Amino acid sequence: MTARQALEELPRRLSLRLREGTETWLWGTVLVLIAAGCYLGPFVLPLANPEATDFANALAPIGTPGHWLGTDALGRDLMSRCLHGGRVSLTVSLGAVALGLVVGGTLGIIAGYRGGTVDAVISRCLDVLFAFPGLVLALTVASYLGPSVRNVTLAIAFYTVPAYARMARAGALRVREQNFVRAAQMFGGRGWYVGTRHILPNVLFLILTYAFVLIGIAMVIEAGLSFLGLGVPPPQPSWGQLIAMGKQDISDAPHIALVPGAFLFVTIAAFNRLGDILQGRHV
Amino acid sequence: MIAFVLRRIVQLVPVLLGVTLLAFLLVNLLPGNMALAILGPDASKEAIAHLQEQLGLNQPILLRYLHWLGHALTGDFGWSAVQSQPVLPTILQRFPVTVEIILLGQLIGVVLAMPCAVAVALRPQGWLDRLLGLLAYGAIATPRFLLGLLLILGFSVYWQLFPSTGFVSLFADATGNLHSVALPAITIGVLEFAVYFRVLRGEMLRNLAEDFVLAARAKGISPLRAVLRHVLRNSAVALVTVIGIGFGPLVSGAVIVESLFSLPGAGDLLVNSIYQRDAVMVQGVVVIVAVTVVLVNLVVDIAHMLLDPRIHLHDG
Amino acid sequence: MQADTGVIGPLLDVRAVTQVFRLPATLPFHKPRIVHAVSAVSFTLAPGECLGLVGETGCGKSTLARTIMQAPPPTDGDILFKGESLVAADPDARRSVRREMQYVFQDPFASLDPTWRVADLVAEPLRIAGWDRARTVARVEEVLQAVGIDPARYGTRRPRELSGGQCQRVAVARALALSPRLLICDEVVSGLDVSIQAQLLNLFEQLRRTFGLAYLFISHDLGVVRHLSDRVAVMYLGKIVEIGPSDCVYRQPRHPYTAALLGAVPSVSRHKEARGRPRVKLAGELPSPLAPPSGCRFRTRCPRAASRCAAEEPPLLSNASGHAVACHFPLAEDETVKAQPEPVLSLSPARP
Repeated sequence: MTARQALEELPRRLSLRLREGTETWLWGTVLVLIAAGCYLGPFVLPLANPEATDFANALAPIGTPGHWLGTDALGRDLMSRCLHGGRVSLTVSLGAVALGLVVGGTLGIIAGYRGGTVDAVISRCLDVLFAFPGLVLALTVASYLGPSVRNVTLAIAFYTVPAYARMARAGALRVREQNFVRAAQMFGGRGWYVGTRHILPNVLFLILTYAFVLIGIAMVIEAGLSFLGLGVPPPQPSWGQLIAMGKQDISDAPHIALVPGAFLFVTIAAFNRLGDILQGRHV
Repeated sequence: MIAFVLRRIVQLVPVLLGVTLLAFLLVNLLPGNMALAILGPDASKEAIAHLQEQLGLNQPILLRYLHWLGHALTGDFGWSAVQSQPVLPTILQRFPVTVEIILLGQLIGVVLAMPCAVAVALRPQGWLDRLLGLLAYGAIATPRFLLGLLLILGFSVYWQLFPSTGFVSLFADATGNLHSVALPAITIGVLEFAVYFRVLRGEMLRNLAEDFVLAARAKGISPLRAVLRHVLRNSAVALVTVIGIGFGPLVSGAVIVESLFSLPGAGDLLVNSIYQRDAVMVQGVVVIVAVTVVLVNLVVDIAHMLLDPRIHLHDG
Repeated sequence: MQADTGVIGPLLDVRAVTQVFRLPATLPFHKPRIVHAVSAVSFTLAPGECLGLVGETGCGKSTLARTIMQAPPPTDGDILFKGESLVAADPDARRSVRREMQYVFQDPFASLDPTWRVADLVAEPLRIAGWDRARTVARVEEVLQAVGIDPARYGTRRPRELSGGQCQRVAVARALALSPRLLICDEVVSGLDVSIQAQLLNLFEQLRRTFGLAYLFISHDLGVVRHLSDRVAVMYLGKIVEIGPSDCVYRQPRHPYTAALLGAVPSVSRHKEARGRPRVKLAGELPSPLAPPSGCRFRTRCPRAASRCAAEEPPLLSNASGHAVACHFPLAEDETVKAQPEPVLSLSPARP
């Protein structure tokens, strides 16, 4: 009941922060546009088939009528490829972070609230996981699970789960010391009750704002994976892969790599910036 | 203080064990792949089964781990049948390249970040502050491979200053070496610069308000000297922390950069080994990387304590 | 609800309660350090009685209060509530007793979950106890009104929308929800404006009369305690050094420490004995609870200390009127401790 109340609380707190500046609206709109373009675009816009080759119009520059963002070496429309690719990049990143939030957040809260042996064990496991750089871990997992949207998401989740667990644990540790937790315990409230009714609502804001920053990082990892050819395989090339494919023609037609690059950059920047603003770091 | 160091080292042991175990598990949970990889996709089922038996792939996984660990502790990381090379020597041979670009990148980042942070701390919210802030922000939002591509576009294609591939060993030709690693190092350096700049700037601004700086200024020391003498030293603590936290992403960056610029480093080895499904090699690289990260964190912890004993006085 | 005259014997009987904390050893071969927070404290509390507990910060009064609540249970000694031992009880019995004994914390904002609404905060103990919705709602309204908070106006508000005084009332309402017999109030008015303090104290008095509550009222502020308490206990470094009826202790302190504390109370009061009371200087610092002085713990700062005080710990002995003191050389009727012109130790931390 109180987690629900905390959720009702959230729009108020978020909107308070968000109202601070048109910049938030700017980035918010950017994200909404990109997301809409990637998820709804293929159904709504008259996009060419991203795999349709058109050798006559190969290497068309930006601004060519009919292919507003140009085409690649095989004549495939870049706008279409970028929007389709965006769907993959976004889905994988959002999925990995969502997984991280649920699994990592729960683990972190349990570790922070319970303390003692449970905390020690979970913390050691987190230490072990943190010793592996995000990309290296994702590389190893993805390559041995085999490339697919689900597996790549899982691979990146190996990074987001510990990241979230650490953050949730820190938050839970702080909340646990508060007197209202002691009061609930004095009334006879037990572990599960206190954890969900008191600890969770108080770290919820922290966890949700962290999502933005983490999505940015997840996208970088996913793009890196795809760039190395170990991410989601064609025919669902994500932005990273599109950039890799554009690498060969970088001297003749840089736009092939730069257009998806721009999409990637703007999306990551938007998530980072929104994350910073929501966490109160406006600089 | 010795007690602190000893305690930290003791705490490391289970983590290191866990790290090696995890690396081993990640790579080895699918025995079929390894034999398949060695023999190729056309091998018969019997041949695969036979090789599996020979390589001991059918034993319980923990046993194989202990077996491997025992060998690893004596320095024997095994033999890669896929690439026909011993694992550890190959990795070590590639290490210098990776280390070189990492160090150069860090150097570029720190050397650029310090004067910028100082300049900006003396005059916050000025045009330089905003400009650099914006640049730093942009750099952080750009994945390294993208940045690398942009640099290639700029400095290899348009202005033919630096090569985009190839590596010349430091021992063969020093200038050639620097020439070949310039772009990769800059790619890494830009992101490091962005991170350090932001952290240093934040720390300096915080420290500038502190009493001892005000006291220094009251004594007549110019703001610049006050900054250099007191503020830098205290900011060093934050810097060390950031270096520690940033080491993991730095390694990831090295992997990407080596791939992009075709440098024969450990990261490139990792990627190629993954392409070739060379489990033994992948395992070796991953373990070494993870152990390095853990050790770097230890060094950072110790450096942290040396620089600012305040933090650790009551560590109990 | 009137005072429960059916209870025979004291409501709360604290017997030689001790609480020590073990700090982890910093190095593997060192002995762990022990904090003697509370040492062999004994007292009783009758139904409907208010016992004030005073002492410097760090004397162990809060620890004692929490120990009585079994959070954590005492290292040694026993606590009897309505004649039944709490320490020996199984968790279920302990839980049902806990409902009759409630605790109010110092900082009202910290003791109320900021994400909860007032009505839910007050209802929490009822929900945990398993009350059904209708009864809960009715009871919440009842207690909120008893503390002077309008449930209709404030029920759906969050703590940050209320003032400190209002929050404390909500905390008290929450404590009253299960009709406790005993309320332990730990520095509940410290940190609030003086006028708000007065309002809250009046509320406490009123609630006491209406519900027949007993209080264990902890404070570092002697003036506050005086109003409300029937009896007062003075604590020093984990031990009770003096305990007796309020009037007796305030007018005629028998322990040098109490005398020093009372000398520090600004004499704006109309009580004649406060004026003309010489200011007493105490030497030295509060010793560390890690290594309390041998014998009488107060001897390192006592102007009357003699060799006997180091050798032998003074027992808590009561005189005819129930006024007990733990001192080898208690103050006689008109005696005062040697006066020196400097200001005395102050109990409360400097006001911001």
